[in-house]
Amino acid sequence: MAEIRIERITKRYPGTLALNDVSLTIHDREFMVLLGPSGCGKTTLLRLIAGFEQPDAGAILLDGRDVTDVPPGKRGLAMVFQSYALFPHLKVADNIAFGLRMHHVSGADVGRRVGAAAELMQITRLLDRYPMQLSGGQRQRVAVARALVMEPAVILMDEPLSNLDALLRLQMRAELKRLLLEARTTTVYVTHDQIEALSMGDRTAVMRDGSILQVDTPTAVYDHPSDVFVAQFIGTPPMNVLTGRMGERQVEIEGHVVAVDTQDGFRSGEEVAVGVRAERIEVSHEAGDGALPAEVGVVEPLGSHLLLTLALGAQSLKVATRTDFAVKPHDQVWLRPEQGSIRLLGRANGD
Amino acid sequence: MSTAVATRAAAVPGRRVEPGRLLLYGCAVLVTLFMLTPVYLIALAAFSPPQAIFDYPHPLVPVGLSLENIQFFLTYQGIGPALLRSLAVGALTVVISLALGCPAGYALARYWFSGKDLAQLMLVNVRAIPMVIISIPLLVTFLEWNLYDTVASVALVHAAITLPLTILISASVFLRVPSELEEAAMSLGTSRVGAVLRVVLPNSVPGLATAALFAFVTSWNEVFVAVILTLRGPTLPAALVQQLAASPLAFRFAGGLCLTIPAFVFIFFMRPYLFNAFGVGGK
Repeated sequence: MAEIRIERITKRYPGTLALNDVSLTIHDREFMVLLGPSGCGKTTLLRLIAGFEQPDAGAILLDGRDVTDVPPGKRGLAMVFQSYALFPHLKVADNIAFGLRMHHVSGADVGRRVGAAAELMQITRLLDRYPMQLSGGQRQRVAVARALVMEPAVILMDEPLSNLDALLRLQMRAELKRLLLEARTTTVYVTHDQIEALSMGDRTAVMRDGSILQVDTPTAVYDHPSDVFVAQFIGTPPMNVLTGRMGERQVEIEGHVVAVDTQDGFRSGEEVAVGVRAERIEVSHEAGDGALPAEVGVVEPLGSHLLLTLALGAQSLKVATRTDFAVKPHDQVWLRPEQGSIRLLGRANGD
Repeated sequence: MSTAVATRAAAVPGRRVEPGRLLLYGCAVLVTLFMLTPVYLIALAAFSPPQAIFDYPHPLVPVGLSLENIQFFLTYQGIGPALLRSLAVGALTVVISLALGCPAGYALARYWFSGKDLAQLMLVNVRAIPMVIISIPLLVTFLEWNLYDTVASVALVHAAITLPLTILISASVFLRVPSELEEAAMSLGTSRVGAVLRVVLPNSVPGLATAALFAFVTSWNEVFVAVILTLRGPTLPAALVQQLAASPLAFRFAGGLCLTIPAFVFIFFMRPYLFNAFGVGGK
């Protein structure tokens, strides 16, 4: 039970501005994902919430209480580290019990809660081992158990799945999501993996160069990216970004006119960056009203769909279509963006 | 003679071995022989019957093992107390050196502070000050403090000698304990000091043991300060220096062996940590 309010946080390191006037409110019991490329400040923000770092300006509030100067152990939050940070000299049971003992929980309660946490994470039979004797996936379970056993108001996770192999990561992703939903804690989860961000979070804060670019639900971040960076950082493949010239409720791309719903504050005649998702473009062999001619470059069958790389005049874009669409390189095809799928992302060549 | 043996020994396992590697191993064998041969000869003489020392040609393998020399040495007047004193000075040196060196090493490993590079450089440079120059002022000071000719005075100076390396070794040991472990402990409710005591130290025991051994052996072998600062209560090396010229050859061999063995024990434990200790400036 905790709402986290980050108010105008600035953090400098020698030579870099790690966080630049960042504000963010994370609601009680919300699963917030901080997403961005390495060096964007997401981990710094997490460490500030944890209390390992002090901001140069700004404040952090937990349930309205200013905790900026409160040491980490007194903030009532638990953290799962990327490296798991299990204590090598302690058995699994003592690792999990560490926090409880630091908080002077009575011996019987420690045993009961450690047992419950171990059962929850299905590591009961590992309690007598040392971390060195565990696999990566098992260590990760111990690390989560050590955090959950504290029944913290807030759980912070720093890329907890990044050291697992692909299959295990897929399993843990779903399991973590279920566990954290059941634990009913507020969760702040740092990742550079956009699929993790989309699949796990209630909301995602996309960061770059020490600033938050967009905070939204996964669907909104995916469908309505705030700018070119977000559009291209999220999704596989990334959103197509084309350059066009703004008209009256229409954009001219490579000499072809595409209708748009809004003007979004852009003036006619301006060069704009236009975004459209690969799966929201219809592709066919027949010309039609408002269809754009394109030449097929690469055809990639991906099992569930076919990914085409196409040349639209001098610009390149990707389109996803059904696997039964018969096409080969150098074919001429016609593209029709779905109604309402075109996004105006900003001025061309600006950020 | 030993050179020829070494070359042949290195060449024997030579099925398609890279020349560079062969050269490396050859050099390693040579260096090892260079270091071990005198020790072997001393040990040989120490464990031979007293008369055997004057045999010619001298046998290179033990003939008739005897503890007579060692026994003679250990029971010689003043040697027993000197040995105990050396142990006491060594132990006290270890305690002072670790008590002061560990916190300093932790600071170097975990914190950035202005003048850090200079501080590290100065630490190493302390070794460059010749003991001869400061020995007289030290002597005067200890006389004033009524510490002259005591175990404490020798241990204090030995601690000063060993402190730079204790600091560098402990810094490198602490650097190897991920700071995330400390942060994890802190986020689970303990303070930084608590995290150091409960998490960092238990995971640093082998490395700190090495630093302790280093301090002990340095103190054990140190002659100059011990001679200057003691008169009636010398340490073992100081006692040896005082009596060496006037003692029989067998006595010298037995004494030499007793002084050498701790150094070898120390090097055995120190080996895995030594290189990293000097690379501490990396962070």
